[in-house]
Amino acid sequence: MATSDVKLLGAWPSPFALRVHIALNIKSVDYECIEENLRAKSQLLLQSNPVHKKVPVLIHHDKPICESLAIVQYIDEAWSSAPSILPSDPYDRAVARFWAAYIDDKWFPWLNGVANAQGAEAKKAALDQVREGLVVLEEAFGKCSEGKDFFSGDRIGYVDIALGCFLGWVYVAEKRNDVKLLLEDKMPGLAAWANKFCEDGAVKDVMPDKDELLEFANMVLDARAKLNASSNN
Amino acid sequence: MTSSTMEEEVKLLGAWPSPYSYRVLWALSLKDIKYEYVEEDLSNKSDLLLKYNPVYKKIPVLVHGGKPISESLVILEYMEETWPQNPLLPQDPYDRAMARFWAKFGEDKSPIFMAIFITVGEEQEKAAKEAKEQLTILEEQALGEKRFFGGDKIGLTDIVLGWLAGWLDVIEEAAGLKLLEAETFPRLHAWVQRFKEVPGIKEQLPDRDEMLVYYKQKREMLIASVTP
Repeated sequence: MATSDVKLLGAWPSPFALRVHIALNIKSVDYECIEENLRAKSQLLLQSNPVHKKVPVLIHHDKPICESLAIVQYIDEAWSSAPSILPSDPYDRAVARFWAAYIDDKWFPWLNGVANAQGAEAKKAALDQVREGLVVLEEAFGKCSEGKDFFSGDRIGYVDIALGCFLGWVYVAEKRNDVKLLLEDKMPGLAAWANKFCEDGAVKDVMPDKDELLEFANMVLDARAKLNASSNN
Repeated sequence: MTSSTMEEEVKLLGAWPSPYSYRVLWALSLKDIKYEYVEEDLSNKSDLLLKYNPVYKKIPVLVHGGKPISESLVILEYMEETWPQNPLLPQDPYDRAMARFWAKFGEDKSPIFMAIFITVGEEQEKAAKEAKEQLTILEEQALGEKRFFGGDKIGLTDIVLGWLAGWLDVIEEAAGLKLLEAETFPRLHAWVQRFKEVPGIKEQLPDRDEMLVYYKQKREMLIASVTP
């Protein structure tokens, strides 16, 4: 199969694009990775995702698919023979979709909220909220993993991908705020899971280097802070 | 954990006139599934609801063979896989991805529409402008020339956007402005009429007069709280 048959429009810091990289790797799909400059978006990106103009976009047989979780489900369905990303049982699939939605609708906005919080009190509240969410996810991990390494059991799956893509950004938030979010005493399951996830064969070569991500985040977030400060004067 | 079989007992915890509740009612109706309906009083949530949805404590919750599923989109996908008759999703993976994309778009944009209901004056005008932009996207890109968002028959996206057919005009009247005008959005307007006539949907639409009373009351309370 020609590599150009499958293209991923992504950006190396994007956790959402990372989800797609991991899903394609789980299925051992050969793909062409196109790195987008999000400050100068390509014609291909604008044409492929006219509604949101965002990465990731998967282009398969010249047809674009957008929205990271829709893409991951597409990959699971289009390459149906390789290891499954979603479980086979409908109730287990519903549980997996529920937690992926929780991560996207509740937890990630909280993580994002840390960077946007102004002032020490707001920052502390934002960080506490992220930790509270992780406590909820720790309980979910206990129930879903049933003592195994991943939410999906022995191999990484849908919820692992949905949450694991943010581990680099959790590290960024921890370093920038000089705190721990993934606490080994409060979230032992997740703490162990995080290490195993990052070491997984489908993940380790595509996960961005944590310190490079921190450098990138410092650059972007400090520039944004300067902009806010100057516009407030 | 294995799923319940098609024949096992189905219960829906819902609340009138929640459009999220109705999404599940429509799917139950379209797939001809027998169920027991439990109307929740959201100001006094039952122990059952708190037990079945501890994370959000919200309706709708579908309980199948004693096992709860929350979040309307998750429920719809579960129903599609458990009761495949009268499918809501196409077979082709690409078409399924498109349906999921537009369902998510509909979900993510609903706060913009709610904003016209909870704001007044300039803020409301701004919200109305944003809402019309989303309607334009739905009109031109999501629906296009199709009869339904799902194609020739209704599907997941139609159900997720069904609130535009049953609720939007009531909310417009309660909030005192018009968004979905027939001249500006002819395709969406035609879709609304078509959607309301679909067997399975038309018997399951909330009473307009009752809804108007409900939303007008809410609007009055909101204005009283924001007006100095």
